[in-house]
Amino acid sequence: MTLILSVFQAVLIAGFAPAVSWFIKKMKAVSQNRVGPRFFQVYFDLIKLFRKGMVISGTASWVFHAAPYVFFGGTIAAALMLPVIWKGALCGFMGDAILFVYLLALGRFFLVLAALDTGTAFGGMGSSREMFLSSLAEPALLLSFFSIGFHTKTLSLTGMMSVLAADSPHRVIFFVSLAFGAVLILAIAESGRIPVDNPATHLELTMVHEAMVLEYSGRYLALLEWGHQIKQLLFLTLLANLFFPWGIPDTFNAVPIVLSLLLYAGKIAVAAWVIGWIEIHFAKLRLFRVPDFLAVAFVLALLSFLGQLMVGRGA
Amino acid sequence: MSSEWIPSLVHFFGMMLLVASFGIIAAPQIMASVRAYAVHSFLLAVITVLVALAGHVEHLLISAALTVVLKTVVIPRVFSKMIHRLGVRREVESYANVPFLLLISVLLLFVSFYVTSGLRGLEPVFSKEFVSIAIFTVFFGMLVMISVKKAMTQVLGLLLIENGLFLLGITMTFGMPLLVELGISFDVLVAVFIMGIFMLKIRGAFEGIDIDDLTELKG
Repeated sequence: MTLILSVFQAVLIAGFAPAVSWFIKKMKAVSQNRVGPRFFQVYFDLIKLFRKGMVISGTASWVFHAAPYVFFGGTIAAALMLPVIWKGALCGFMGDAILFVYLLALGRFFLVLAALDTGTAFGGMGSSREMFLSSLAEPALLLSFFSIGFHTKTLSLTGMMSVLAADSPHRVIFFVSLAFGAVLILAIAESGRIPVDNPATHLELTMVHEAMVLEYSGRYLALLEWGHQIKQLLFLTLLANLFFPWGIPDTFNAVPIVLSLLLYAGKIAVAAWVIGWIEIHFAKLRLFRVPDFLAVAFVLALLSFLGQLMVGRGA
Repeated sequence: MSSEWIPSLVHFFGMMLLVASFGIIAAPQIMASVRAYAVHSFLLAVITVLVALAGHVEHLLISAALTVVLKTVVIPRVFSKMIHRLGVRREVESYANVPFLLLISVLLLFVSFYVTSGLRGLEPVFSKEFVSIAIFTVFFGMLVMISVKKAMTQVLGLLLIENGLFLLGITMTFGMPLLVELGISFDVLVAVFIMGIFMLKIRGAFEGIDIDDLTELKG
């Protein structure tokens, strides 16, 4: 039962991810008086890409072929560590928060290599930008995990969530609110949303993620797109379940699980709404302003850590 | 309010105070810095209210009200008027980039916590962490003063130092006598006005309020 539920969680994330993407797209379209895509359009797009043939550069080496699988696989593996609708995950163990960060980093690393592999100018540009940004985002994410881990005395995502859920709400809100701010900024940065990267454009000056996947087509592109959507949902799930961990059951009864599923959908909708709202109301930052933005996340995480270190663990 | 809530609340507002301080230095535009200062002062007022409630010192409530009126409403308005009058470029220009300044601020925070943790015989009447935060605010005000090029933001640094001293006052001794508090508040207000006039004069003399130009005064 545990196994089924854990696998179901990962499948849920993978299946649900395009829908979240659709939600933000639709929200943006409505705000601009456009109709926006139908709900199933995002899934049709993926299916279409999976069916299409691929055009691959003659100079591409095995890295180019491996990257989509590594990226997708790494993201799915990270998804297996996240508690979604019940307090447990398939691969949850002590310290999985660190592995979570580095599985995502592994996918990114391969993507960067693959973008360099074909030797196009855009690929190199996208790679250099991606590394530039991720070198700032990654320490901030780790530091946020450490600060939450310091409060909950564990470094497993499942453990963190259980401890926070058992704590009284005001303490959770007060002691991890700064880490929440940090993870929110990182969620925007990692999923390539607007103040950092614009997912809807292929403009040379602005693209980061899009520049890296420019050489891909067909099945590989579908895997990368899907993986990217899953990554976005992973961060939203982190926001929703780590910082608002209430109402998630630890038993296997059908009713609480279904309720928890609805609650999860609601929380994700709210989180996606926040991301969409930011996307609608802010302009994209100039590339060299982005480090300032990410530095804010880093400082928030550091402050959250420092605050607990100095005043004791929630005295 | 139950007594169990107050430490959490105080911690929360202390942290928010720090975030507001960082906002002053991370803000891309002068008006955003001023707004961050307004938020900082407002949080200061909230903390004052908490101290007043926890320690049953009613005259602090008057100080808090004064803080809200003067520092979150009047002074930011004076600043925005001044920015319009001076017609300065709205971007904050500093000598170092934002991430570097933020890291220095965090370092300052460490220093102030370290310095205050060594102090013996220090018996604050209220939460001890605020002594460190107050000292940090003073340091931070100095950092703001030395790191930015515009005279406008230097005034902001001075006001921050005043905020830090105010916080130190309420945590160490439940605030100074009301008369002194009133005097200080009006001093600050007058100082802002005078510095506004100064800046107009500086602008008249140098056609800008970039303090780099002031070095021309040296013989």
